[in-house]
Amino acid sequence: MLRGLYTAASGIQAQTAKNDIYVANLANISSAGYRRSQVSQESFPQSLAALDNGAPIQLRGGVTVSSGGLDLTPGPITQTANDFDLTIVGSGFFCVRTPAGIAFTRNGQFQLDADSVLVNRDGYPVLGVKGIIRIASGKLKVDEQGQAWDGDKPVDALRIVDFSDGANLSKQAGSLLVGTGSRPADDYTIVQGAFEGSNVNALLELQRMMNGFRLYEANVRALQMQDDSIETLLSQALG
Amino acid sequence: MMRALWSAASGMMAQQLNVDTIANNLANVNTAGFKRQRVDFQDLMYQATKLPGSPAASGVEVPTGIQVGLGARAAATTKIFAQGTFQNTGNSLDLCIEGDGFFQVLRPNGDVAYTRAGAFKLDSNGNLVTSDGCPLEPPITIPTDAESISIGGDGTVAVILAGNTTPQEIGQITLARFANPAGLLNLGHSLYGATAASGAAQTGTPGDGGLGQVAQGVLELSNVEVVEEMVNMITAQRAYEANSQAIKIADDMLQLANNVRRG
Repeated sequence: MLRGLYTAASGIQAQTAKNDIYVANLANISSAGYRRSQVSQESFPQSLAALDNGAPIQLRGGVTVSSGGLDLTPGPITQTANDFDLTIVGSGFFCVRTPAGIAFTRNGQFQLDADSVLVNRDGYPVLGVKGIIRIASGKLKVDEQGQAWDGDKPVDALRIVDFSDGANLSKQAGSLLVGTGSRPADDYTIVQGAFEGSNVNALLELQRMMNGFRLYEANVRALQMQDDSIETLLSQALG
Repeated sequence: MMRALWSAASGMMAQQLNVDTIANNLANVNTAGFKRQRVDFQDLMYQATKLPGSPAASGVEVPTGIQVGLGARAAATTKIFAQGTFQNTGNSLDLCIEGDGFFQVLRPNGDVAYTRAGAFKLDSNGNLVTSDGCPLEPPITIPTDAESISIGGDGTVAVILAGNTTPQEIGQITLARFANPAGLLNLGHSLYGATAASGAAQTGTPGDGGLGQVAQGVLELSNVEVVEEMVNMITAQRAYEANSQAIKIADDMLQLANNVRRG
């Protein structure tokens, strides 16, 4: 009886955790290059079996949020009149140098800093194959392969990387991703004068939230019903 | 649960700032030399409840982990320095820059400010000043007996004095440009100030070193596109609405949780 209470409570907690992730996605519907977080859940026995090597514990019922993940489908592309807005069409990420190391992003809203270095909105330098990219003339031109030109002078090619297994990436503030296992991307084209938006779809995200809300509600009802049964039992036993 | 409320609130605040910026762009649709702004958004920091790559069991790693985002924030309001449309006015003191660069004017506090608004006037001493009375830097003084003023593409100012037929050169307009014009500070009155982010002003003759040419009798209007702003406003409004729905769902969940224990 009491075990059922915990099972319902685990369902409530899992739906709460999932809702947090959906809401954070929705809040980032206007964040350029944002990749929506996915979340999946699994039932307890599997996770306990995984924990206990060779000797599975048969405790039935209950659910937990098991893993996140990134939805890497492309976002909508907005055209601008700005030459410093770049989009990767296809698979790949821009590389920026942060104080903590190289980070990856689909957000191609760049600009020049006071030293004419190509940087992102946080001021982190955008990396080319040879290093940072300096555009002394202030006129950036990028061709489809990612070759950057300073006016008429070719400077460097943008470093575009891809991951064989996107699963190992984790998110950082500023639409940045960090992770290991990058390799040069080969299946992409660069579009200048446009940026890629967030891949969050408000309708789908709200639908997931509403669905989650009903599951949450069902778990609350299950909890209340068991509470009622215990109450009946106790009142009869205590007469 | 509380995370959801705050994430959604951050999303609503971000969209509010978006609408504020769009409204300012629309309000300046007829402001000469105005450059539209755009708000760029980013995700906030993440709370990792399970890090990717952490061990799940001996020899097994969590492949993706769980990271819960905490909402969105505005990363920057970027000025878009795309060329505005031109209006032919025929007024000899209306100047525009075709291409990169800013006119330099002296503010009352002695600082140099930069502007694309080229609707210049004459003050009582014959100095070329902006509509607010800030003189051009370096100053250009038109003699009182000048009959006509002509300003060349390279910024040379020549006048024909009364009783003369040949133009006489009296000054040179110089322009300034910046490594990062998006880093300039908005001072209002269509003026911009240099900052550490914009880099120091590089001055020069119009037409040289990447600077645009000056054209006389033409005004550069605002670069705000009404249709584009309207579309942005609709998107912002709908995103705001969606975030408010998220708050409602989170609130309903809290309400249910509060009512788990009955009577």
